[in-house]
Amino acid sequence: MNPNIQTKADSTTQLEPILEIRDLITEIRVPGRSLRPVEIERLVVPRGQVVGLVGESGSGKSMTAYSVLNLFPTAAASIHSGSIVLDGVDMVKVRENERVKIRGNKVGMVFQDYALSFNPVITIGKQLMEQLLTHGRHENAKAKVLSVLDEVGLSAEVFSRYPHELSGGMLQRVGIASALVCDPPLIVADEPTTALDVTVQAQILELLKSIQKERNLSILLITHDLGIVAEICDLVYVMYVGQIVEHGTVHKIFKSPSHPYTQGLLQGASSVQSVGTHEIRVAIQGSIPGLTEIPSGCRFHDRCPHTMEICRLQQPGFYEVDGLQAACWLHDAEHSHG
Amino acid sequence: MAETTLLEIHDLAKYFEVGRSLFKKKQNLYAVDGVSLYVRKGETLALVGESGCGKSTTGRLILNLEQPTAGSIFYRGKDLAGYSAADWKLYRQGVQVVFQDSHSSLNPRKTIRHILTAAMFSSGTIPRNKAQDAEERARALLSEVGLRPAEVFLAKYPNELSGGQRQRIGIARALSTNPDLIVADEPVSSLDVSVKAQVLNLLDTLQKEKGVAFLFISHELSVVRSIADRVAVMYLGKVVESGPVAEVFDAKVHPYTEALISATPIPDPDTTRNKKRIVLPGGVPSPMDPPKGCPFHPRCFRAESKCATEVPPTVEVAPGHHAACHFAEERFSSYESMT
Ligand SMILES: Nc1ncnc2c1ncn2[C@@H]1O[C@H](COP(=O)(O)OP(=O)(O)OP(=O)(O)O)[C@@H](O)[C@H]1O
Ligand code: SF4
Ligand code: SF4
Ligand SMILES: [Mg+2]
Repeated sequence: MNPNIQTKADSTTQLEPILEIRDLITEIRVPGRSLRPVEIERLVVPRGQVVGLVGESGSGKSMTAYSVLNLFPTAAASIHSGSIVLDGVDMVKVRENERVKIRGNKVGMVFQDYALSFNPVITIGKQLMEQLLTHGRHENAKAKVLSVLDEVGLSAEVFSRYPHELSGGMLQRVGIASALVCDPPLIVADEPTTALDVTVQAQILELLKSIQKERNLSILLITHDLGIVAEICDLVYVMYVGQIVEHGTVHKIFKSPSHPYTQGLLQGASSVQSVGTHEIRVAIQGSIPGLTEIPSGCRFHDRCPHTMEICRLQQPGFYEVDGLQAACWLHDAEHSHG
Repeated sequence: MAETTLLEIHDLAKYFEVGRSLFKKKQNLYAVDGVSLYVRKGETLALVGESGCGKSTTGRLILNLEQPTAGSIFYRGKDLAGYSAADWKLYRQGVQVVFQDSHSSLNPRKTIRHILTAAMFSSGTIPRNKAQDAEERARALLSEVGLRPAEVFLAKYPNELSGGQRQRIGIARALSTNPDLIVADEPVSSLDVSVKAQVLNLLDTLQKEKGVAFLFISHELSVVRSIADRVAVMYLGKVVESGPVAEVFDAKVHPYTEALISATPIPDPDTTRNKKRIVLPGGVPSPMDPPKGCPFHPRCFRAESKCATEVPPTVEVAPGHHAACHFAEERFSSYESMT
């Protein structure tokens, strides 16, 4: 175990967290019914930590990110109930005009694909300045933008460039600059390197690591890539069909996962270091169910290799197992048969 | 050509003409630029590299979906350039394809039954008047790719299936003509971690049972390591290193191979945080204006002065292991002395 990471975790757990999600239910209205892509009991991002939210596609990771900002890409989605306390302010309760200020000043968002999210006919510099102005920061806007471009490794010329003149890696740097320009203490990054080539991904991961250290930033990093989680996260939350199934420190999650889903994910992950070619991989059977067909009881029960009677009937709560929190009946004294 | 060689390509090139307009001169885009490779019976050769390096174009040339600008392709010892109609029929049965996204490559208006039997009819694997035979074969194929009970899946439409199931249909369709070579272009890249492992297992099992060879095109080095026998690493339309997968990944003779492996995160916190990471500067240069000398030299951390002017030759550093770098032999001997 890396001693540095351990100390960091210990010293920060005392502080009030930068983000605390409690009993969050996010819903999407579709004709005739409403679906619940997110049902999170509790998720905490301590100050100065990098927290990974990992899961497969359709598990609700991006919807969780949008919930944190309480800003959704579709009008059909909204927060049903719960609280999202961001630096002391509840994003669910606060009025929309307040929220606009909080977004940007307290939390910056980094997306997967910037090719689509910048206005193609406005220069990069203007778009970043616009960010500052909408969040009430009028002084020295240009100087601020130039300094944040420099921070993400882009030269001053980029200020007057248009988005199409930049490569994918450069655009992603601009995306990070745009999240940082109002100096928020928290960044939510949704698959920030998924659209990039591996050598460019390495550049962006190094950049995120160094900025995190420099600014003592808190980051909620959403990814499906276990390698990236291992690389930069302090804490990990594993998500399955809208719910957290296990969380804990990155070292414990990777060394001794306690939830069968986490175990399956880790065993199925390929590695450049794997020794055997054509070795049969341990794979989780079946595939992730859609939101219209959520299984009863434990949502993983139809794919789990350890399913018991109770698993089909009742949803498990969290159990502490060697410092990890796992939502699984196997860890209930009454139901586990060791 | 060795007895066991199924496919062999020599100095294959594909240039696209782009940017032709009233004021601009047309320019060449060097998508594939002098690639030589071979695939043996029953093995998996992986073609790996970053986006735009020419992997897919190489696959499309082999599949005859694109015509080469130069070079030649031999299948079972015979040059495609001299093929007769009968040769092409054998080729269409023998060489099949699986795409990344079976969603767009499967006709959404046809049932799985239709999709599979149509592939057998059009390739001439089963004559059109033997509909019963085709149906039975479709059933057997579905079971083989793990879609059971087969009757249920025969009647379904592609959009009624999950991503992993559709990819299995794509594999069943490829198998329907009894091929000995399947070109698989990013066949698991869009699949979730858990489903990806299932499909990789299926490909391994099918290869073992049927002896089919794969040209496995992928940008995921971790997947390549676990499924390939041999690997060819591409950069800017050229193969920069090729050989047995374990040796290439361990020796990392070419600096680009070394950088790719070093950039790939390992799903283990202790290992991935303690390894030294090579971070290459910038991005891949435009294939319209590839650098002079060694195409990798503007980003290479081992470059010396001659790299900017002299094209490095491709040398064989060990049996079946080639690399195109001025220092390939030195690099391989230092690897050997370490092991
Ligand atoms: N029809 C075409 N016209 C012009 N350029 C093309 C055409 N097809 C491919 N290219 C270009 O050729 C180069 C090689 O493309 P190719 O699709 O083979 O790359 P790839 O390695 O498969 O990339 P990816 O990983 O992104 O799929 C790229 O620069 C691409 O934009
Ligand atoms: S609660 Fe039951 S079904 Fe769910 S993960 Fe645990 S053992 Fe498996
Ligand atoms: S020839 Fe030179 S520039 Fe090219 S890979 Fe080798 S060391 Fe690097
Ligand atoms: Mg491709």
